[in-house]
Amino acid sequence: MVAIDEAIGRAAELGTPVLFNPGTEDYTNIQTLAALGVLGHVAGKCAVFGVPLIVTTCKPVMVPICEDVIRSSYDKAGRPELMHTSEVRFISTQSDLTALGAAAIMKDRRVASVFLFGSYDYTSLLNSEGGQLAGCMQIAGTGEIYQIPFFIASCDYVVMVEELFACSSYLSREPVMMGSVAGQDYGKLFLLGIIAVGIVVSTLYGIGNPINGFERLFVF
Amino acid sequence: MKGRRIITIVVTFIAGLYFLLDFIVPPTMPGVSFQAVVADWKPGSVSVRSGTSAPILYQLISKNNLRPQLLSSQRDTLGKPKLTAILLREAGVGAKVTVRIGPFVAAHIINPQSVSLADGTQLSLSPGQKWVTGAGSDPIATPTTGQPMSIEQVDGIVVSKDPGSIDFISRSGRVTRSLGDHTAVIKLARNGPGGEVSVDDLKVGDTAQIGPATTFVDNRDTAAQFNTVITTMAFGIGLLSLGMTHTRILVQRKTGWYLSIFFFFAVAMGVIAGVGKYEDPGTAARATSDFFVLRVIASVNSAIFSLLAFYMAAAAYRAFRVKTAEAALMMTSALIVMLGQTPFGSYLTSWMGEQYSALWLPNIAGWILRVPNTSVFRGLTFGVMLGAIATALRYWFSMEKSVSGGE
Repeated sequence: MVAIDEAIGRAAELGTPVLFNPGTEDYTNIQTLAALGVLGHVAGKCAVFGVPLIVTTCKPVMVPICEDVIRSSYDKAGRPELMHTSEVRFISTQSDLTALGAAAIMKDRRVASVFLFGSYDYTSLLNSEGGQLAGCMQIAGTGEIYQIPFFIASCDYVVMVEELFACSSYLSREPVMMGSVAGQDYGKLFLLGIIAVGIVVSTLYGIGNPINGFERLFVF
Repeated sequence: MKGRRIITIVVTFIAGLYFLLDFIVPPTMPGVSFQAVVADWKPGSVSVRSGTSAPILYQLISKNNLRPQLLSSQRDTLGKPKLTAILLREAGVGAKVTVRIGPFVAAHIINPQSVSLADGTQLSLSPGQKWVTGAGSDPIATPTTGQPMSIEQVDGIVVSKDPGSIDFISRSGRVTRSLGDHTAVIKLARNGPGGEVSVDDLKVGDTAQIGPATTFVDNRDTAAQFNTVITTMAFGIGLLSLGMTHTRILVQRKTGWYLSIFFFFAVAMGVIAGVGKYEDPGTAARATSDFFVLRVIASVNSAIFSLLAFYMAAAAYRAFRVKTAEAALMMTSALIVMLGQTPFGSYLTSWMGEQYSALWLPNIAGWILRVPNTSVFRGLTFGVMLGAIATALRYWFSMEKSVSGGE
């Protein structure tokens, strides 16, 4: 997550834009909502450093939403006059065409850093390899388990699964938001405890296990 | 600007209210609904007339796949017509419906107007009906054996209907309840809310509820059509906006102006492809559309999809370079799993006897997939669920200020 600032800093040094893709789903997907939180942070940093921000999407409904998120971040950063340097581009309703369109933008605009956050289908590789070929620094984050290996293979940094949901809270550094991350961790601890109990019970009393205490229990 | 904002707020509020009420309003009118265990039922029937021919009476009862199905013609968001199955309640007298019987496979062709099935059932065309392919609507001139086909009466008008009746066993004994034109039949599930069914879908012993269908249930499709109209208008506005933008680029000869020519070329191609798209397949009227859709657009799509293979090879090369201990572990496990799923992997370790079967590559690969891989998968799934709940709560309580606004 620290690499997000590094990636924007790289774009500022090179004087080239950063590209953000909020995934292939619309706002009804929880991963897209998590990605919008990251977009807010990225837009805020871009406003501070004066880095142009390009957002590409395959969902028309995401255009005004992303614009609002960016506008809000620019306002919060005290640089609303730089809002015109950012652009939200709807490329195509087909996610593969959007990925290719984004790859063309990366090459033409010499994009320095690429952020791929949200839910992805098979186009995860089309998106990330486009950035790899254009020589961009890439940070990806998704909750789609099957797409994570592709991102690991093509991106510099990968935010995996539940880290995506914690990302925007972590970046905001607000105590209340961080509290929800701590809640996530306690939830995991609780589940781990249940798993440990399950392993013990299943080993001792599970039918078909070598020890098979269950059968012993009912042998009179 | 203020007016537009108010309109947006009002429309959004009404739409939200509608969908909320659609959620909470029960499917049948409370108070006058009746609920009991089903003992027997009489199926509904409908008379449908096409043109000047005599109405055809359909008994709506399940018998193999030969239950007449009522279909209503609607359009999807792209304007493509599609037939949607409807209940008898939804087909009022005077409504335009398509009735489909099948699909079935004919065992014997008696004559071009009638066929017999393997179980001896004989099916004949009545005036206004035609043979169609499979479960689709493409007409076929003569019936064929061995291929699934159906009988359709296209765009018929409902002349009359009998909704049928249900015998219930209630505390007061066995009672027969006739169904009205607008009576909804809800089959209650043991778990969950159940759903509206046709009378002949009920089984003896099912618990069913009948009562006048509420307005929200009936207008669910209307709301969906409203959505379709808005989407279609958005497409039109988008096309106009794109056209204006690219015209401006061409007139002002901006950088890359020649690319705008491709936009107009693509629009022209799309229009040509759209003409005749809904004609019968194989006809001359559809040939141009088929050429653009199947020969041009499908080929281009396949080419884009095939890019994945090259990208995957490049990504795999980078991922499998053994630079660290983790990369070596991944490379080794990937090699075992890949080899273990091929006949060659089996061949490599088959020389080991049965007593060492645990060391056979397919068994090691299976263990990797079944034990370590499954446990990691489950861990990740727990993480996704917890993260999704935490994110949903943050949005719910407007804590995600970068999106929901606020300081």
